[in-house]
Amino acid sequence: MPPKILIIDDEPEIVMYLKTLLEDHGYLTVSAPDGVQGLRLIKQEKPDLVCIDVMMPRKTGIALYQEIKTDPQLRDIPAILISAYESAYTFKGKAFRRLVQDKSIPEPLRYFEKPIDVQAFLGFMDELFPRKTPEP
Amino acid sequence: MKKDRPVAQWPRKSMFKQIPLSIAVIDRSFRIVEVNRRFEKEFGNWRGENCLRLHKRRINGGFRALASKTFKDGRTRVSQEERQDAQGEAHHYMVYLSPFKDEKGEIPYLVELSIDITDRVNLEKEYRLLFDHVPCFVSVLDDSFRVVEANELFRKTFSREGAQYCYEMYKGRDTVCPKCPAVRVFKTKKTCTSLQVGLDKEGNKTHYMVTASPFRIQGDRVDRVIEMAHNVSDIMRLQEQIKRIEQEKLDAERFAAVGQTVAGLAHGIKNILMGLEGGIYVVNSGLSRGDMELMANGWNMLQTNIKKTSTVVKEYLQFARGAEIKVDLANPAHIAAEVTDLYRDAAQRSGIELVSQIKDNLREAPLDHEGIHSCLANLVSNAIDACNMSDKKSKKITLSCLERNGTIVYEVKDNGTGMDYEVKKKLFTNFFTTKASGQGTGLGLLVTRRIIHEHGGKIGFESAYGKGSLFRIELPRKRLPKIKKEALQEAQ
Repeated sequence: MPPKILIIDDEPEIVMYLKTLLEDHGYLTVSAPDGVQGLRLIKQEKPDLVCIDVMMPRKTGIALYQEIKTDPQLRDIPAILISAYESAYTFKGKAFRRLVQDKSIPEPLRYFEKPIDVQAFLGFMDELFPRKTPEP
Repeated sequence: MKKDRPVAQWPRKSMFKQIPLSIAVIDRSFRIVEVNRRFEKEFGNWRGENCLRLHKRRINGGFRALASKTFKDGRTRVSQEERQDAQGEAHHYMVYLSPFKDEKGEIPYLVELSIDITDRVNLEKEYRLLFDHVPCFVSVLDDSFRVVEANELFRKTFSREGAQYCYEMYKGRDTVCPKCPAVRVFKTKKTCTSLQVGLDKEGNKTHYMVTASPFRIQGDRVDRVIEMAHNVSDIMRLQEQIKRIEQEKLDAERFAAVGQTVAGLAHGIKNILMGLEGGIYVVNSGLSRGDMELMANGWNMLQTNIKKTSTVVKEYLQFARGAEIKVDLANPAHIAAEVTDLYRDAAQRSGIELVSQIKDNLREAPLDHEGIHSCLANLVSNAIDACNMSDKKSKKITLSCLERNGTIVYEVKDNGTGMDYEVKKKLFTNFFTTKASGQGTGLGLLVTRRIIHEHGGKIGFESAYGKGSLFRIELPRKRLPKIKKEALQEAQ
């Protein structure tokens, strides 16, 4: 079974893009348009990786990330954040701790800035799922 | 001396001795021939001594000259002098020198009468010290506005060569100043205060607050006025500085808003770029897979993002161009009423009750009618969206307009979705939108904030996730922009 990736983004085009990109590279994908539905899908589908957009209606990406990382059932699922924020807003170190004070919550595995660097994104996926990634 | 004896019959000798003033009789060779008891008590026994020795410490003029004149013309002379008493202490005296004429009309003696005025002199000195050292400009004017007395600070600051009149000294003018407080005091006999701008000796502008009061009244008219003026130049400078700092703060806020807009624009453009790159990728992927539906999806993505580009660019241009607001007198309440009317139907269609609470006693204010209108429209439209995103059954928006302590206040309150921490944090700082794709660029609140800042006001909000939001615009009247002259002329 190829790795299953859950894409959560309120922009349907972004979902379409990432879905096509990942499917072209041999991944299974599921998607949700916001954090509320996203959380439901995580529990239901148990994906191998969650790609979370930061700015979404109803529940922001940061809120969703915190919920995943504080749920014992879900906390081991790797998660990455995707946003158009500049590097100043990257979700690392002190900047991340300003957003998330709870130190038991780890920093996200990786943060990708929009528009995403496709090479870097696929390279990261290859590293995360080495044996399971067939070339297109 | 018996009590019933007429004054004329009192022995002169006895009277001379008992008068409670120091009296000495001096002959033509300036020898003291007789003194009374008081004199003896005060200065010692000077009988037979040369009086010039006693008078050697006079303040003005030589005693010999003065006495000689009186011997010659028989006129009484008065002088002030400082003299040592019997204990060697210096005192001030008012000395009257009168001729003593014999039957032939000749003057063999002078009678010298000394009154101790030390207390008065000391008091005068103290007053002078006070007068000279009070930290304000003090001057006394006669009824032709000539400065007859002035303290040290006044002289140091305003004395000009040849200047005699207050208007010459204070302002270098040659006629009485407009709104002169002294003129009013001479006329009304009442104290009067006025803020004036003068020129000091070096020609520097000096702001002073002057209080003029009647100083001497002759009969029923004031013939001397005292003017006391405080230098308020520093206060005026401070006030100007505060004004300038406020303006600079306003400008800085404006620049910051523009900076954030640029950062926000980058954020918006990055999203669009990702959409465009995604569209191209999906079209290519559809082509290589031979999947027509995927290709169509990719094409749609391209179209959507090109449309978005045009919207963002247009709104941004509007934002950039609208840097100058057009201020005119407008009634704040009318603008609120217009916006309520504009959105009532749209709100109703979405099942939202739009209520207006507008005070109708508001005065007109210098506002950019169109700008404030678009701010309120933006807030109401956002509130409608927030209500639409909420699952509540009874949805309500209240637009209120009132005035509180000289500040015009607009409030837009909704019971929609409310905002969580991240949304609140980013609210005014970026091209931030929680609205679905294509429904908002995230510029609305930025434009609103810019317009409010241009009006010297501020916009803030309170919000609770799941409960609703309240946006409040505050426009202090004293910080509102001035109406430009052209606009005023146009209005007239």
